[in-house]
Amino acid sequence: MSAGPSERGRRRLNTLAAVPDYNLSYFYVVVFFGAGAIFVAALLTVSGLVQPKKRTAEKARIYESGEEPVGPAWGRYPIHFYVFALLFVVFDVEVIFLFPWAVLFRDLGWYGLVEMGIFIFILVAGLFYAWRKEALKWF
Amino acid sequence: MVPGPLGLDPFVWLFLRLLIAVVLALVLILNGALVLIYLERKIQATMQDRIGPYHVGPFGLLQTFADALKLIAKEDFRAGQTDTAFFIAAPALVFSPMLASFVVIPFAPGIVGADLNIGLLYLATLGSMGVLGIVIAGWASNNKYSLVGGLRSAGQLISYEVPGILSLVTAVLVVGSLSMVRIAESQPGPFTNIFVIPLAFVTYFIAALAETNRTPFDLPEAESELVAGYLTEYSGMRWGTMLALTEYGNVTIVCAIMSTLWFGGWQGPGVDSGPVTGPVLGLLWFTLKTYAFILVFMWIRATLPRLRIDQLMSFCWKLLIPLTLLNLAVTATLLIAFPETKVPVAIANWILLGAFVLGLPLIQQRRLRRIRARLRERTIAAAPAS
Amino acid sequence: MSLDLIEPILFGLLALAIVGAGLGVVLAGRITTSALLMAFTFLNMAGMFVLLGAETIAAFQILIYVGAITVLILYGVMFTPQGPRAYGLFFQKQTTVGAVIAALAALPVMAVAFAFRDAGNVPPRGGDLVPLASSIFTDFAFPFEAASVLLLAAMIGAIVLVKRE
Repeated sequence: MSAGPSERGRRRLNTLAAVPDYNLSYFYVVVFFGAGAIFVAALLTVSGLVQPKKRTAEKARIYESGEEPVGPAWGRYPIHFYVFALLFVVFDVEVIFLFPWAVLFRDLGWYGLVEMGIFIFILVAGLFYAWRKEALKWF
Repeated sequence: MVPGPLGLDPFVWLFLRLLIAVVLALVLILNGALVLIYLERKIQATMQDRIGPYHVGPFGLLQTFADALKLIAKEDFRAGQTDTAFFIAAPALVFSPMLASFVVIPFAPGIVGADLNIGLLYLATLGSMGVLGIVIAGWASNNKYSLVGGLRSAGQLISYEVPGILSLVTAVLVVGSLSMVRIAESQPGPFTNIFVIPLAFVTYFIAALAETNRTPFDLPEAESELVAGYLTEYSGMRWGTMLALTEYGNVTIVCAIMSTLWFGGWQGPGVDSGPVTGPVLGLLWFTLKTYAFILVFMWIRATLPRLRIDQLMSFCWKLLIPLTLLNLAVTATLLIAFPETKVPVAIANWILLGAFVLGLPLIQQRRLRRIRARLRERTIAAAPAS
Repeated sequence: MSLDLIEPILFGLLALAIVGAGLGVVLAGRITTSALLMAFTFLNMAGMFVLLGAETIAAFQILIYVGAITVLILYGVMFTPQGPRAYGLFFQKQTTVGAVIAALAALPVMAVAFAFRDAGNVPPRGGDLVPLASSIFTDFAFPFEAASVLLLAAMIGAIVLVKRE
């Protein structure tokens, strides 16, 4: 069996739909994802059966507050989208290292704290650099 | 394999349990959305000194049901060049992670879909996946408004994920486990985590408001902005699933996380009493706590104005992230320095929370003074020499 | 249906999905389709990790790759013109040379992977968070700190690029 919850928890979990096993847990996850997709599909199918279907040329136009859309929807966009996404990637990786550290940080003691502190400090330094260079502005 | 009641075959019992879990979750979301939409409209109405829906059914209780029927019967017209496969897939991509989040939430002692060892990490992951659905929705609509709206919404969501997850990690520091069931079990009695790490709660609350696109961070769905952002081309039930169901589902999940991490989830008087009354009471406490937070969300929506996109981004990156990192550092240091008690952590956190709440107006005043000084200089410099 | 058959079947399905989505990334008509098939590949890789019992790594994979990197790539890609790509880009004179080199590079990789097929001490299913944590912060502390410097370099690079605008 997997490294499941404590004994008291294991006894309590054998009710209704609880699953203390690793394989079954992830099977549940997959089933829930599938159920989500199926539910949305079913809902839209029901809607498709019930709705009127009067297609006109006007209805197929793209909405732009009454103006005619000019050109394709893509083009040159400001770059700050990309900057924030990159900053997010960096901080996401930081968060990823924080999760295992948070579970084990008591056993790692001061040594682990200093390690993680250096890691976070370096990334915060980067954030402050971005701040000073005014890269955090969203125009 | 667990044999079922009445000696059912383990496989059959497994699939039955699965079916029950899925149906329960879907029913929870659907009814939740119905109830919450009604509650929202009534509460907003009361706070705005009007009545809200009252025609359909007694006190307008059937209003949401009628709205849902209308949405199902609406014509689904799609603009010509939308990227069909992605356009159709986007509602499912936004809805499925939200449904899958219900697997790890402990509703009562013993009632949880699956007690994953990494429960909290799993929830953070699913929040991340929802962002992709929104980008796809904005893109697939082949509409400039939708694309920009989708990218802006995605930018807001990914920015506020960081302080949200950092606050969750701070709570994990105190609890010591990522499993939601163990987090709920670790707070017996009246002194739940809110007394130990209140600042993490406040920052998570703010991040949760932004993650679920609720006021004051509801720029993506504001009526006066960009028409409706990434939802512009979605009509009828597509809009229904993408917006109403998913948003209220997300709000429920986020409030459930808050009540589990900081208020003990299903803990409350009487949960140890028996194999039947225990879980029932636990479910009651859980529901009360979660709905209390949902009501606060609605209260905030009726009260606060909206933030602009640059205000909300700078608030996140320049204030919330340094604050949550500071909170994390302080909490970790104190927990290692005083491994036995949580009291120093609690004191430090309350001090930080006070500094944050009281310091925010001071920071604002200083910024205003600086902006006014700069404006004054510019008008003086621009004035012709006379 | 024996429970032991499920794992190879799942592995087969996931492997097919990964390879298929990977092929799709290269061969897809439009670049956004490529990006989204890439996200699908990442999801299936996360499924592989779950199959191996490494749930934490699977969650990290989805959190970083699907949640952050795909969004980053989509931001970059959506600013580019979106014509259907010519297949001529893929099938040309250099393809045979490329295929031969790729096959030659794959041989040592397969040899190394095959050597590990009897790997013994795999941690128990679902128990990978604690061993992961203890190994990162003790044995691999230096690569961990080096990773932070790498991330700092990425941040500064992006900022320099932005400031050139």
